Amino acid sequence: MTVIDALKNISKKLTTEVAIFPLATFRVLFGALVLFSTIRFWYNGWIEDFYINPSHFFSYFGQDWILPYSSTFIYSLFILMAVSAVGIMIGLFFRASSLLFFLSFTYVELIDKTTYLNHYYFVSLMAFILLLTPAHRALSVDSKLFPSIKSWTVPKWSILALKFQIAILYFFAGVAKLNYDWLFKAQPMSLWLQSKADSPVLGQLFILEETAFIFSWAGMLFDISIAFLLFTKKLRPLGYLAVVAFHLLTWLLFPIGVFPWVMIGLTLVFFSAEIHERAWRAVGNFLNLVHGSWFSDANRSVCSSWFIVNSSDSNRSVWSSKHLMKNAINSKLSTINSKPQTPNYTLSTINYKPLTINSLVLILLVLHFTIQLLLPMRHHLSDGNLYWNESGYRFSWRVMLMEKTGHLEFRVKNIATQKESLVEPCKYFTAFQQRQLVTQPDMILQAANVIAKDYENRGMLVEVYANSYASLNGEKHRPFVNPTVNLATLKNDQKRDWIVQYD
Amino acid sequence: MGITKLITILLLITALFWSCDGKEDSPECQASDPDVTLMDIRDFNIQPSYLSALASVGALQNSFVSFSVETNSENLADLKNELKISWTTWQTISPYEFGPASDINLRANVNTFPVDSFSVLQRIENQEFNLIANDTKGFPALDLLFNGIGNSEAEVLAFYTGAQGNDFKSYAQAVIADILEKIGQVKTAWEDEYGESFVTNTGFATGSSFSAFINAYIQDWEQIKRARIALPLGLLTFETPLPGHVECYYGGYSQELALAHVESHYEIYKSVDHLGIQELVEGVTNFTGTDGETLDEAMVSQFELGIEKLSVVPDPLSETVLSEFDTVNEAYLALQDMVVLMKTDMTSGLGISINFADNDGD
Repeated sequence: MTVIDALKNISKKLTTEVAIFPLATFRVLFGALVLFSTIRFWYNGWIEDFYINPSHFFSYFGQDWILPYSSTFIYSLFILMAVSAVGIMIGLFFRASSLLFFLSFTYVELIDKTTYLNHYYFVSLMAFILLLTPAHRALSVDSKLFPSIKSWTVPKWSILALKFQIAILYFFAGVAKLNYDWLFKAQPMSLWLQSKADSPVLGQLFILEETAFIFSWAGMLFDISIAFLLFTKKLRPLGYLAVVAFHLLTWLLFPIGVFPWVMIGLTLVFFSAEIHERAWRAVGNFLNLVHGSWFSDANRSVCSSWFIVNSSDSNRSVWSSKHLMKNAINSKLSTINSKPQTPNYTLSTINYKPLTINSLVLILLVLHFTIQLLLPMRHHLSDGNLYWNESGYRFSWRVMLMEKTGHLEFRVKNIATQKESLVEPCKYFTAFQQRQLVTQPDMILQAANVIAKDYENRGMLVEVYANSYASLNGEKHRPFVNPTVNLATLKNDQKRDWIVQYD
Repeated sequence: MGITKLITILLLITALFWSCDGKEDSPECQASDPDVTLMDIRDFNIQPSYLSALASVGALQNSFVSFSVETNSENLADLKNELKISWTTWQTISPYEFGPASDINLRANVNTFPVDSFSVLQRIENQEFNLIANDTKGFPALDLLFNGIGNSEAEVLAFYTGAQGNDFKSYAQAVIADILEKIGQVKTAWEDEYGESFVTNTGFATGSSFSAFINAYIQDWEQIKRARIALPLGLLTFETPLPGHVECYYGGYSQELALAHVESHYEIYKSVDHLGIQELVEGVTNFTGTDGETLDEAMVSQFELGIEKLSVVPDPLSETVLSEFDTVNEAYLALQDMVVLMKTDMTSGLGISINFADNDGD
C-alpha cells in the first residue's frame, strides 16, 4: 500500500459518518459552561479589575494592538461572548456563534499575559475545533430553522478531534509532572497541602508528608493515563469516575474556578453514541412532558430505531454511512407501525457530500495538532531551568506545577546625569499584575520597557535595571534578574541569559 | 443498570459539593472551629494594641483640654509629650491595616505625611474645621500644630494665645477627635463581628484571615522602608533627598518612630508567651539558608540587623538624610532584605501567595 493509499484510507475513516449525539452533548455542555464562566467573570468584577483598571497590559508576541480600548468595547466583547455561548448551547446560528465566541474569547485572553490560565487556553482551542464541526446538524435550533442541514450523523473526525485535544491536555500535563521536585520532594504539593491543614476531616491527613507524595504521584499517573482509560471502552466508566474524583478534589483544594466543571462536563464526549443517545432521549422525554414538541415525533422514531438497530448490531461501534442507510431502511421497516417519518430524512443523508470541505478541515486539523504536539516540547530548545526561566512555559499544559514567589523593584538610571532612582512596579501595574510580573521574566522585560518609555515620554532617557528575587517551591530566595543588565535595550527574545541561572 | 446508577451517584456527589460553592466566606463553607493561633493573635496582639492606642490618644485629648484651658508652656510640653507617646503607640497598630482598618483607610486617615502645612494654616485662617484631605489631619498635622508653627515654644504658644488662638485650638481639637473616632471604630469592630469572624476564617487561602493579616503585615513593613526611609533619602527621586518627607518633620523624632515601628513588627512576629507568626514560620521545612539556618532563624537575625542598623541613625532624620547617606542607606538595605524574606520565603513557605485580587489560578 502506498503512502497515498494509506492517507486516503485514514481520511476515509476520519470522514466516516457517525451518530451526532456525543458531539451534540458536547456542544450543549460547552456552551453552558462558557456561558456560566462568562457570567461568573463579570459578576466577580473581573472585567473591571483585569481589563479596565490597569493602565498597561502585557501583550503576547508583540501584538500590543490587542487592548481593551474602552470599557464600552470590553463589555461589548463580554456581551458578545455570552450571547454567542447561548448560540452554541442551543445551536442557534451555530457557525456564526461559535466563530464569534472563539474570536471574542481569544481576543480577551490575548490582552494581558497576567490573566493567562491553561484552562482559558483550553477553552479557546475547544472553541476553535468546535466551530469546524457540524455540531448543529441535529438537536439544535438551527436544525429546526433550516431543515436542509438536518442530519443525525457527523463525520467521525469532529468527535475525535475534541477527544484528541482533551487527551493532549491531560497527557502533557502528566509529562510535565515528571520532574524531580514533583515526584521526589512532593513539591509544591507539600506546601499547598500544609496550608490546607484546617480543612474539615481531611486536614489532619494533609499535613502528613505521605499524603503529599500520594497526591503528587496519583496526580501524575492520572494525567498521563486518563486519556488511554477514556479511549478504552472497558475502562471508560472507571476512567470517568477518576476524572470526577480528581477534579472535585482539585476544586476543593485549589482556587481553580470553573476548570474542574469544564473537564467533568467535556470528558463526557468520550462515552459512546448509545449512552449519549439514551441521555438525549431521557431529556427529550422530559422536555416533551413540559413543552410538547421539542422533538418531533419523526425525529424520535428515527432516533430510537437507530438505537434499536445498532444495539442489536454485533459491530455497533462502526457507524459507517452505509450502515446507517441500511439501518435507516431497516428501521423504517421495523418501526413501520410507529409514528410517521420525515421523508426528507433519508434523502438528505444520501445527498450529503461533505468530502471537499472535510478534506480542507482535515488538513487544518492535521496542522493544528502538529502544532499542539510540538508546542509543549518547545522548551527543549531553551537552556536553563524551565521553572526559573519560564522559556516555553505557557501553552504547554503546565498546570499547578510550581509555587513561585518573588520580589521586584526597578532601578532607573538617568543616562544624562548617571543618577539612579528606585521605581516600584505598583506605580505602573495593578496588584494582580504585579503578582504575575514578579516571577515571570518576559513580563519583567516588558515592564522595564514600559517604564523606559514612560520616562522617555517625559523627556528623560533612562536605563532600567531590576532588583529582583524569587523563591521556587519554598526554597530560599535567589537573585532572579541579573541586576547589572540594562533591560530597556533588551527585546523580548527567547534567550534568557539576563536571568541569574538556577543551577 | 450500571450507568444510570453511576450517573445518579455522580450527580449526588456534585450536588453535595455544589451546595458549598460560591463565595468563600459563606458561613456553611467555613471550618467553624476557631483557630488557636488566630485567637492568640487577636486576643494578645491586635485587641490590646487598639486598646492602648485608643488610651494614649485619649490621654492626648485630655492633655489638649488642659492646654486649651491653661495655654502655657508647661501644658504645651506635656501636650507634645503625649503626642509623641500616642504617635509611637500608633506604630503598633499600623501593621493591622486589613479588615475594619482597611475598610476605613485608617492609616491614610491617621498618618499621611508629609502634612500639607499650607492648607492646614489656610483652613485655620478661614475657620474651616471640617477635615477633608488626609494630608491636613492625623498625627503629622498635630506635629505641625504643636511643634511646627514656631521655632521656639514661645512662638508656638503665641499662636494659641493670639487673635486666632481659638481657631488653632478648634482645628487641633478636630484632628484629635478624628483620630480618636477612627481608631475607636476599628477597635469596636474587632470587639464585635469582625473579631469573631477573624478567628473562624481559617486556612491560608486568599480571603482567609492569615492571608489578610500576613499581607497587611508585609505591606506595612514595606511602608517603613519606602515612605519613612527611601523617600526622604532620595532613593526614589534620582538621588535628591527629600528631608521634608520624613514622618515627623517638626518634632524631629522620625527615627524613633521608625524604630518603634520596626520593633513592633518584631514583637508581633515573636508574640512571646503566645502563638503568632513565629510558630507558623518554625513549621516551614523546605527553606535552607546560609549555614543551614531555618527560615525562622533567618528572619530573626534579619529583624535584629534591621533594628541594629536603624538604631545608629541619628535624629532628626531630616538632617541625617542630607549628611549621612551611607548610615541611612544601610538601614534601608537591612529593611529591604527583610522585605524579600517576607515576600518570597515566608509567603511561599506558609502557602500564602501574595494575592490582593481574588482570581482563579491553575
